[in-house]
Amino acid sequence: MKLSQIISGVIKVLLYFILTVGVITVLIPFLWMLATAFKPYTEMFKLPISFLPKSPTFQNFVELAHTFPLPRLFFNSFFIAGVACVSSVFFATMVGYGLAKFRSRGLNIIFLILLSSIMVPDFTRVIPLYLTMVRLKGDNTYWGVIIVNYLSIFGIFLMRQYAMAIPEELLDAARIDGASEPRILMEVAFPLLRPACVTLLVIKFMWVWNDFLWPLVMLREPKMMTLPIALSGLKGLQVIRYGPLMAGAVAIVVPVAVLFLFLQKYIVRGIALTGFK
Amino acid sequence: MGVKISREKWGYIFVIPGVLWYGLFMLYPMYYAIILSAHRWMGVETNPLFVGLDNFKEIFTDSLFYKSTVNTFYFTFISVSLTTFTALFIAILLTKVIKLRAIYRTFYFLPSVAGVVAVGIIWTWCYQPTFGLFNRILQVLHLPPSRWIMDPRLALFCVAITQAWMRLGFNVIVFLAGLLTIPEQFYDAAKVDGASGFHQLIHITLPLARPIITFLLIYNTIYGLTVFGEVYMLTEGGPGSATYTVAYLMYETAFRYSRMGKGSAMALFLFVIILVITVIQMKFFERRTQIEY
Repeated sequence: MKLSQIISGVIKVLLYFILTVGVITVLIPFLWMLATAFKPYTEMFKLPISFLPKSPTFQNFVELAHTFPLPRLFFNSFFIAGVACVSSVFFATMVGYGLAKFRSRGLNIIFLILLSSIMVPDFTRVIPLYLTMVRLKGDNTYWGVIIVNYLSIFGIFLMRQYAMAIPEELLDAARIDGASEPRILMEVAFPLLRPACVTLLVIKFMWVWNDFLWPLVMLREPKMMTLPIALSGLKGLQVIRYGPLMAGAVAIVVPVAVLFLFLQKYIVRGIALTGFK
Repeated sequence: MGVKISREKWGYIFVIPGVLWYGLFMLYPMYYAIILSAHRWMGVETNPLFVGLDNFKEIFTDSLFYKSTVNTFYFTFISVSLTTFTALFIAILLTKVIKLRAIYRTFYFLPSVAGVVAVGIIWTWCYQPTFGLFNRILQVLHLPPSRWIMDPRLALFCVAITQAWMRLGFNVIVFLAGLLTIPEQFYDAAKVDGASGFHQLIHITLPLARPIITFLLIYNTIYGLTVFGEVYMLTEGGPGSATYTVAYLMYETAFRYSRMGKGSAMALFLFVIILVITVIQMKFFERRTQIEY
């Protein structure tokens, strides 16, 4: 009895040890980013390595703000991600609810067809979509970047999963009261789907905020670019200034990281729900 | 209400935005890509010229395209195995932890939040040969420095590690959610029979987790085969052609050299590869599952 207790104790300690080492390994590049971003130029190349700046400074951020129109870039990123989010939540709720609650052969087939597009990666569509957008004068515009993101299959799938859990009796009760189907969607289903909407909102925001290939080909002028797209150009400069570069990485990561830390229970549920099944 | 619309019709009406999206941003571009691949086209200002299968002939005799294809497979193999099995291992450990589970999960997921640009910037700095973090750590440990992404033999592997780092958290969350749905009774029964922890893992956890493993393998494979941002940010295909992947070469062909038709041919080639591999993976795991039960 005693021996088995010791063994299980040792296993417990080992478990936490492995997991903690794993976490530290995963976090080290982030810590290094933070350390570099707040270090003055002279300290950056010093040995031994230190994760704590001796004399922390905002110099790198100032330099970054001199190189880029930061407020404009933040606005672009927030605007593009924001509009895409709202539109995506609205339409995904509508479609997902329709697929979940009006079961018929036709709708099932539509669902399967929609789902099949998960196997079609973005880059198979990027050339034709880009050429089409150029013809429609949509390149280098906000709407050109946003319109492709007005809805996503992931969103439809997520909302459908949640909508299936809405009790049929609630909807029938509203129908008996004479409510029209759009009113039932807006006034009965939508409030019940609010947690799902938050989930989709957060995941979609992170997705569009970090989206790379599509805005990269679409946005040419610096004043139209999203934050990551503008900063991806920093690399190509002759002399790479790692300080401002890390400050830039911090600027990209912090908004989404904060969003994630506050709303992570929604994200985790959303991923767990759509990740399989 | 003027015209009464039947209930079933409302279902179809609600679905319209989805069908529209599918038509405009899925079917139409796919169709257009096929048409494009049969044309030589140097961008919107010029006229496309019908060339039949010439674009495909051209890419299949191009040594850089061949290199990129081989690189893509190698990259995918490394990235997918690293991501999937590390995540499975961590998720299994996390099922045994109750108190700190949520905190660990948060930390593991953090890299997935960062996005490919930030990740690329951070890792370029870590891999930097003279002042980068990794070589400094090696220095502290009195080990010889490496050139990481500047070393042609190592570069692709480094890019794969970066992708695995980024994708790990998502995989952990999906695995963990799946593993936690395995009913506790299975394990209780096994304990009564005197099965060790290792036996429980082999005979309960892994077989029951097979659908999730299949799903994530397929998902990660698609992700690996289409790797673009990591290459763009870390190496731009270099040194030499060491880290060219099909998606990166496609981007360069279409958007740097304006060869829209040739780029589309590459995109379609990769799409077919993805389709074939996905079907093989599905078939393989389905059959194994049927034997299991």
